Amino acid sequence: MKTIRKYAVIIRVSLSNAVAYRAGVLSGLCFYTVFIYVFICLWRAIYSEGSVRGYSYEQIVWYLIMTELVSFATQYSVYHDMNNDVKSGAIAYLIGRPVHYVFYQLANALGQIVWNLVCFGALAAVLGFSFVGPLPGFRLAALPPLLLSMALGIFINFFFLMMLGLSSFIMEDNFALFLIYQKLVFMLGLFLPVEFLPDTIQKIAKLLPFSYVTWAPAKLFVDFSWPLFWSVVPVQIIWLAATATLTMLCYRGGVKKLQVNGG
Amino acid sequence: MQSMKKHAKIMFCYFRLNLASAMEYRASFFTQAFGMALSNSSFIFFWWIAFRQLGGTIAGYSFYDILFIWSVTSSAFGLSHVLFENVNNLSQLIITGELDTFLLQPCNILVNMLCARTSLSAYGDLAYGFVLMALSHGADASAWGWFLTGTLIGGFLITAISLTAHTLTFYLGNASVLGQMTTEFVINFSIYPDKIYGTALRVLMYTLIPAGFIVHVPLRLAREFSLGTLALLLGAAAVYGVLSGLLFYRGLRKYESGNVIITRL
Repeated sequence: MKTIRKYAVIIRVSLSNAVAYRAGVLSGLCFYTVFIYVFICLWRAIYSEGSVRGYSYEQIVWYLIMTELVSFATQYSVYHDMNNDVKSGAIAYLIGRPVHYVFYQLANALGQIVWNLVCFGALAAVLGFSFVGPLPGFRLAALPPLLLSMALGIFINFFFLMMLGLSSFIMEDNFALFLIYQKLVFMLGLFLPVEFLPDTIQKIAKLLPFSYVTWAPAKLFVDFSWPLFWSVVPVQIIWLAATATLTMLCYRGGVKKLQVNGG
Repeated sequence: MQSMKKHAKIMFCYFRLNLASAMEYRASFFTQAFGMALSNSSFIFFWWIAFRQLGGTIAGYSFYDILFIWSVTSSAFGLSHVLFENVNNLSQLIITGELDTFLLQPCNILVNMLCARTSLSAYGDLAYGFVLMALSHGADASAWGWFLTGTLIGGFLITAISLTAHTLTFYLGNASVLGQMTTEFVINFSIYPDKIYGTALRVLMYTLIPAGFIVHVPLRLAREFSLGTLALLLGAAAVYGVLSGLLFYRGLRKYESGNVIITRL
């Protein structure tokens, strides 16, 4: 109980920080609007040439609004923070604190994520309704399972970024790994629904965790059905467990090897 | 002429020193350059899927046109950031008073300031454009000619556009977010067919943020050469470059020096 309270305080402080420095989110909102506008223009041009399989124009616009929402909501600096902590040696001070370093980072990021979701979620709704109107066939009853899938996607992404940050224990420069991960998420769901990929790549994509960050919640959002829910959410839970376990193993292995010189 | 030669010499010295400094951290240099090239490839994957679904053209652009505009954008962006990366730091230099360092040196302020830094990942962008051109257009001499023209003029224009945006810090206060937004606009205007945008945005991309001249005009020239279009391209780049330089020097008069002590090693 005491442990939970400790991390709840960290989440509260992180949320207060995010609200206090709300101007920081403004530039993100501008970038979000630019991205959505550009993609709306692009997909309008694509749909004017012909139909694209399985998705109506309204669905693809709302799909992109949702994938970008997940992507922007998780725009916190955990990868850079952990990289800096390891490279600067600051981790030596942080691991000595009466909180687990990994859970501290998680709690610290949660406040920012909640604030981002509120801000970007409101903007997403405004943009979607302004550009294409309401999403056809969307029911409010689909909201709780959708939020669950979104949360799972956000956490999978979080643990991946944490693992990438921790890779600086063994790599001099892990920026390329970060870019590779970012682009895998990008190609396998963020900009394109997995259904658009060639059949072989589609099968591989559905076996990998990257699609479950943005594609799974966005697909549930635009085309909700319980069979779809049961086909994606359990997979998200498995990948979440796998990434969380791997993160803890990376952390333990890294800390054992840690050598900090000076003080 | 003497002055031009002197500036070119300074630019070359900065390039050599920045590259030598980057090569000190070889692993970091190569991973960043490789990572950026890989990152760019993911967009080509997006277009490949889009054209696979539709075939033909999208907003009047074929898949090969898209590969051309991507090659030019990537190399022009790379060239600008390899040589003039410090332009993106200008707002910060003005706010913190660090511009003093450049004012005190016996060298053209603008050239000295612009060339002072390089971006490691930009080498990846620069190389990526050449690789993509080789793969997509092979030995097509005309396409290569317009690619090189677009890269040189595009690199110059991208720097001038960023300079204009960051120079606004002299007039309006911290314009770093505006600078980032402008870069984002330039990239987005350059990597998609210009016809996907409405009239108002297209006016913007051929005037205030002249991203249209970076790739879309060179593409038109590659498709069908016209002396008038070439003159328009060169004229627009020259006029925009001169105006952004004038705006910078006019803004410099408003600059208030700080008391920060800086050492440049």
